[in-house]
Amino acid sequence: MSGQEHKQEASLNGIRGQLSGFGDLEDKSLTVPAGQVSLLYIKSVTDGQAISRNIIAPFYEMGNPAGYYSYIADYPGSEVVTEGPRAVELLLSGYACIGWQDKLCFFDVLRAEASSVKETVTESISQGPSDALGENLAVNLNLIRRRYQSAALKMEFTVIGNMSKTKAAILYDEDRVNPEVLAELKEKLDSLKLDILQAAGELEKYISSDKLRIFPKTIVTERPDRVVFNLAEGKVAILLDTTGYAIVLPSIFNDFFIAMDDKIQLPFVGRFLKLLRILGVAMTLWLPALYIAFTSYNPEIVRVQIALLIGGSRATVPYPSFVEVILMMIMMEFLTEASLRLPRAIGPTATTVGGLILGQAATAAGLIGNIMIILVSVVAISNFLVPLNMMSFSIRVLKYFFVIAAAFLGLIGVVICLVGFTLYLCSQRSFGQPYFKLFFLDTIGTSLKKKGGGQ
Amino acid sequence: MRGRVVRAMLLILLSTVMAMLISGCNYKDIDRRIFVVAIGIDPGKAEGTFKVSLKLAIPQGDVTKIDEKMQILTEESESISEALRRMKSKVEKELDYVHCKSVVLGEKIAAKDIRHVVDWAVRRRDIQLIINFAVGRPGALEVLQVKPPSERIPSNSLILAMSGQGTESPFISSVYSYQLMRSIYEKGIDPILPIIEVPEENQFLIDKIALLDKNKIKLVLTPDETRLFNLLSRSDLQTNFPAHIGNGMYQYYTESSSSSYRIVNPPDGEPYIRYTIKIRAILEENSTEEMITHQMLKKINEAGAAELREAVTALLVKIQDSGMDPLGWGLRYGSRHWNNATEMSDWENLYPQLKFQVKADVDVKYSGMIK
Amino acid sequence: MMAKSRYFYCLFLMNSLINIINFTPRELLDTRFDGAQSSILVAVVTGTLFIYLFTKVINKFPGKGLPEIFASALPRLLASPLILIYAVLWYFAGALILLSFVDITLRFVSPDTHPTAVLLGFLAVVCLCSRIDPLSLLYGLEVTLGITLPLILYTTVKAVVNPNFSWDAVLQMMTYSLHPPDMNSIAAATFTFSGYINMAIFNRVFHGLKLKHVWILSLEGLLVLLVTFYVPIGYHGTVGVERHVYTWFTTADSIRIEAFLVERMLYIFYFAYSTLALVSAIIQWHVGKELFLSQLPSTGGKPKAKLRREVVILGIFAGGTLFLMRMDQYNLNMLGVFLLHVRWYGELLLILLLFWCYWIIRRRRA
Repeated sequence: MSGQEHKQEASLNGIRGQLSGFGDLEDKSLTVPAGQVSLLYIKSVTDGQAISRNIIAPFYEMGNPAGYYSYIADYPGSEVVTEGPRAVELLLSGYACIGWQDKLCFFDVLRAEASSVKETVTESISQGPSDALGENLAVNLNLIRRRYQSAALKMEFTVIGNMSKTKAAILYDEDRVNPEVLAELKEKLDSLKLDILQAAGELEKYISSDKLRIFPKTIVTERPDRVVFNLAEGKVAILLDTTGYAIVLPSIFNDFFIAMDDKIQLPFVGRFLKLLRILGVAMTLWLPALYIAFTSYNPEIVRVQIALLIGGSRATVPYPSFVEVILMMIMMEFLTEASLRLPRAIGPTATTVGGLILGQAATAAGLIGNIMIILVSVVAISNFLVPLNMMSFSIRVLKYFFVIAAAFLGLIGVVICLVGFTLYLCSQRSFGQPYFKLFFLDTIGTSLKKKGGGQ
Repeated sequence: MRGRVVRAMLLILLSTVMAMLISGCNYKDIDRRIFVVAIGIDPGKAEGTFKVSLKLAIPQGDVTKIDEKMQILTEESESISEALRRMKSKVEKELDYVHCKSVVLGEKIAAKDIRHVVDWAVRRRDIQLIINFAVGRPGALEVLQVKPPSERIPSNSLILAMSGQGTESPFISSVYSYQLMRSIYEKGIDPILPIIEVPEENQFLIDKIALLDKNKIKLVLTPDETRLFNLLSRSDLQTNFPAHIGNGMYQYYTESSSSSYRIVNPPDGEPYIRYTIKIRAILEENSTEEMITHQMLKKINEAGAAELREAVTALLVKIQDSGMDPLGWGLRYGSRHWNNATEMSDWENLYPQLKFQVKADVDVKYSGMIK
Repeated sequence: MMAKSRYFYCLFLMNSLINIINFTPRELLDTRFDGAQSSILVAVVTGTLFIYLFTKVINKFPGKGLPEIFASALPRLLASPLILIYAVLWYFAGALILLSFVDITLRFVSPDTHPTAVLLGFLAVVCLCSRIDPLSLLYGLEVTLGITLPLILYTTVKAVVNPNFSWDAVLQMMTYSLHPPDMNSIAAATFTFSGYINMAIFNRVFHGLKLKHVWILSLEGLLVLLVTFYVPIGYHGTVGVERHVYTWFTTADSIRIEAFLVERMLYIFYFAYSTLALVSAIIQWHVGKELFLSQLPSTGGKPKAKLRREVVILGIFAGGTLFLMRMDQYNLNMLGVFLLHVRWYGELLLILLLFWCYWIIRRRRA
């Protein structure tokens, strides 16, 4: 930011200073006997072919820096810039900078990777951008640079894996990032001893220290807008070559419940959607466990009418309730997994056959209670309200803990489990940041303070 | 690090295994239980014994069919718990009392002593404190056997009627066990119980209140008195009251009602209780062909208030003559006096000489849909 | 990472809410005709005073727990026994909460479950969680309060607006307030305010506790005590109330919710309080464990050695609780009342000791 504050004249050294730490900054001198020019550009947002065709080749053909410079300056779309901030801005938006003597000229060589960018698959949203990160690191960097045109966004490159030699880019906003997090991450990456690295999720597993953890501590996302959103919040993103996903860290519990269209929706709608997600998680976690508690241990809790309904629906079921629940839930997991692996054309068929016909048949045969079918469907659906897959998978596993606890101790088991997991969540740290607490109280506190300060 | 994890897992494993071993035998699914929805207690044949009847609700397989399955068990024994234990061997499933909603005391029990039964019902941990108590006439078993055709869940009609969740009859007052317990032990208030009668087969009638002197029935109010009693004891009673003007009879429906009272003990004069009843009402019935004018409404107000005043005063005097205190006047007296040691004996001396002033304020706002 | 002062209020709130479970209402209601109400007022004053003094003095030792303060100011021969006594006190406080809750669970929720199974379940979560670092415990406490506080408020409001609530009984009770206070009741009522005492260990994560509006604490404590005392009377009468063992749970059992899946308030109340009680037991045992740990020779920063010690301490805690389960209802109550008393004197002593330590250190510096 210092460059902008001083309103300095555009100079090559000024630009270099501001863009230090840019791993993808190309800084070259082109020399012919008659003199030399400097060429600066950011590789990830520029088109290498255009540069060599339109900038480098003419220079050596002409062999005359002065003439070359006027050629460049007169080229349609070029811009001669004298102000430092403007210069950096142009560089970031896909211009190459040609410096001759003290003059700087910017030449448009923007590369827009529209054609090769795919649409999002795992994190679809209803409105908003649908670009997904691809498997080419350069393309991904391009996608992000275009959405985050700030000189503070730094990229550092490293190579991970002795055999795979996977290129990785570490992205962060210099002004907002927490240096401790960055240091911890670099230390972890340095100490990494790997042969093959192929997926972002894999790296996620290696850089989180705790081996026995249930909750993800870094977001693995395919959305460039999510990466940008998190970068702006001071987080660090790691992009890997050959994988279509980025890792964002440190990520706390709440981050996994933000969908990218929350921003697009009206405030109340957005809040309602968030509430829905929390409700969905609560339902998917507790419903099966509570069903066991109510049927086997504490039928007194629900109204007599409901108790009789449950009792009636279970009248033909030949085994205890937790067997019923686990059986049905496992069946549901089979369905989910199967429809994931099946070709897209067959997926819906499998779901229909499994969900509708199987459920109907199971109740008709008296193997499963009617209420259980409702419950399992609710659980399965509400599980996928969580916008990020990593978390929804965690919750999918987590509910079995609740089920087991309820099978042993009924309602008390659920309470014990709830307390245990709340405290477990609170004890977690993601790169030193508290993973779970009542964050909104902090924000209320700070906003109150701000108001107080303003008066 | 790994050691920690392994140890934590071992601990969890150990405790779950222990829990499994210990709790495994107590695992009882909902379909292995039969819910007792109502308990009836009558005196047994032999002196000092109880005849305990249970009304059971049996979960139905097909919920779409309106087909109530209900069963009544009866057992006599010298103690309630013994009778319940014996009944266990009459059914194949576990008897579960957690959903029991009503206790019906046979009239003969209520005429002797209710405290034993109340103590039992409050002491037992699986019986709720929001269980409704009532007196069954002629006996508890007869009340339990009632099965109205509108009923889907066994005894649901009884439950709904007794707790006031379904019908909002002005003649029914529900008494929860904690209320009964409270007024049995409290100084300055006496318990009441609603009376359930069985006039015909499969139909019950709840329109009377029994006043108890802590442990047995002393006085039974008539349906009309019961309604007035409810008017005094709770707010927004939905009922109708008559007003006569000349030969014409008018009925007004109370939209809202409230009543309050003050115990006044002037130093130089007779102590009295001043009741203030406020009613907002709608005209519901008119036996004459006259149009209702504003003037007429005012007349109805006055006539209705006068009739109400008379009826309430008669009820209050009747209660006073019985020597009981179902409305908690004594407690009110105590709560307004700081001489804790003597206030209750003061009250006992004061009570027989009390006079009643009733101020009824009937306000018929509308003439209904027609004038 | 340092804890914000907000977490101090959480600790306070936890204790003041948890007091409803067992001993405080019982003690207060036992003396309801002989000075319970004046004792409540006295307790509010002394409780606030204790908080004020304690926070004043603990602020002089930023980031230090009780063991560190004692070690720096008192001779070892005096400090060690004192800390051990306090550790035992904290252990019993946690164990009593657990035992009370096992009893409550068996009475109200799961009569069929084996008591040992329930206790083992509680012990598993308490022992595992009391090893968590203090800051995380505070976060967890705050989250738990976030879940339970609305439920508790709902119960309270629902209890008071019930038309069957006997206000006359409450007023009648108030006419008995002109009695001199009673020591038992004061000891019971001050328990509402003694959440601050956990700062003995939790001060390690507080750097410069800034306490604004101490009057909020006394107001909250007063309200909690009034609710604790009067609401059961409104439900069970001035005389009948003495017959109930777990007064507040029977009170919650007397409230009906009309339009909900769950009809009986008891279960909502039970859910809220079991959650809170477990967290509270975790916090008490965490303090107890840390105090014991501080008296063992240093492990030299080896996590494995520390773990082994923690396992042994918590194992003893758990074993002791299992042993204590053999007490019946009356023994448990006697132990609870005894502890209420001892705790009160312990708090007083602790504050005096801290002032003494501060005086010693300041004189040493001068």
